[in-house]
Amino acid sequence: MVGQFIRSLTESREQRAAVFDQMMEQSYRPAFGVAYRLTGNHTEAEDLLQETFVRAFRFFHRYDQSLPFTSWLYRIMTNLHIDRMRKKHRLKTISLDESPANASEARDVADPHSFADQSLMDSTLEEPLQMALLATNPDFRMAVVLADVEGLPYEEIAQIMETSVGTVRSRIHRGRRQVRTYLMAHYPEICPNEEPEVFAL
Amino acid sequence: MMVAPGNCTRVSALVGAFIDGELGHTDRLLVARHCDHCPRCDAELQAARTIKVGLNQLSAPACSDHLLNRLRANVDHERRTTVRQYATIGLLATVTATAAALIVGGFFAPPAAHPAHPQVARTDFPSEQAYVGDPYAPASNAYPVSLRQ
Repeated sequence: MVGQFIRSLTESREQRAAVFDQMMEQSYRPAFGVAYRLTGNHTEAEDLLQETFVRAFRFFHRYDQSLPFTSWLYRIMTNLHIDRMRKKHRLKTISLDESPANASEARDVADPHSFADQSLMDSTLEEPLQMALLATNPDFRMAVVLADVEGLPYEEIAQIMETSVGTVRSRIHRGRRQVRTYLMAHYPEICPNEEPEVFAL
Repeated sequence: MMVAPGNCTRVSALVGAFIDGELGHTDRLLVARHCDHCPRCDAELQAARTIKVGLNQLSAPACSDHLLNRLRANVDHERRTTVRQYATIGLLATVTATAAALIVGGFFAPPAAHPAHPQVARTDFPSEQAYVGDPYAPASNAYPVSLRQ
C-alpha cells in the first residue's frame, strides 16, 4: 500500500514536471529579461533565474492558475531578489574592510563587461538607464521594471508584489523619480538638471 | 494667468499613474488641467513619460543558448532529490508502522495463546468445586470428589 502511494506520488510528480518544463520553456526568456534589469549583469541574472525556477518547481503544486505563470514566477523572483539584496546589505554592513562611505550603500553595481558583449552600447540611453535602475531601491526597481519594461498593469503588479495598487502607484512614482535624479546627477548631457527642487527626494 | 486647479503635491503624486493610464476620470482631468497651467508639474509629467518610454524601449538582453539546458538540469536535480525524499519518508513510515504493529500486537496478545502455560482442567480447582451443586445439601456433599477421597 505504501509502495503504491509512493508510486502514485511519483507519477503525479512526473506529470507536473512535464507541464512545468513546457511553461519554463515558454517563459524563461522574458523572465531572464526581468532578472537582468534587476541585477544588471548576466551572471547574477542567470543565478537569480535558476534559483527562481528551482523554487517555482518546488512549490508548483501551490501555483494558482488565476495568475499568469510569468506573474507567479515574477513574484518568486521579487522575493528572492529582495532577500538577496538584504543579505548583501547585511554583509556590507558587517564588513570591517569596507570604507564607511561604501558601507551604507545597498546599490547594485552593473558589470561593464556585460554591456560590452551586446549591442547595448549602440543605444546612448541603454547604459545610463540600466545604471539608473540599479541605483534605485529594490522595491521601487521591481515595480518600475514590471510597469515600464514589461508593461504590466498596476493590478497585476500588485498581485506579483503582494501589495495594494496604491503602494504600487507610489513605488513606480518614486522609482521613476530616483531614475531621473540619478540621470541628472550622472548623465547631465542626457537629462539636464533643470528643476532640481522638483525632483529632489 | 489662470490658476492651476488642485495643488502641486497631489498632482505630482498622480503623474505616474496618469501616464500609465491608471487614473479614474476625475483624477485624470485634474492632472491634465493642472499641468496645462503649471509648468513645473508639466515638466515632471514629461520627464516621467520620457523615462517610461526609454525603459520600454530597452532591448531584451541576449541570453546564453545553453541557459534553458542549465535550467532544466537544475530543475531535474530538484525533482530527483524530491523523489529520493519521498522514498526515504515512505521507507521510514513502513518501518515505523511495522514496529508499532509488532509492539502493540505483542502487548495485547491473550496470555492463553502462550504454549508455555497449558490450560489446567477446571475440575482440579477444589475451591470452585466446592460451590458446585446444591447449596442446601449437607456439608459432606459440598466437598469436591478429590477431597472426599
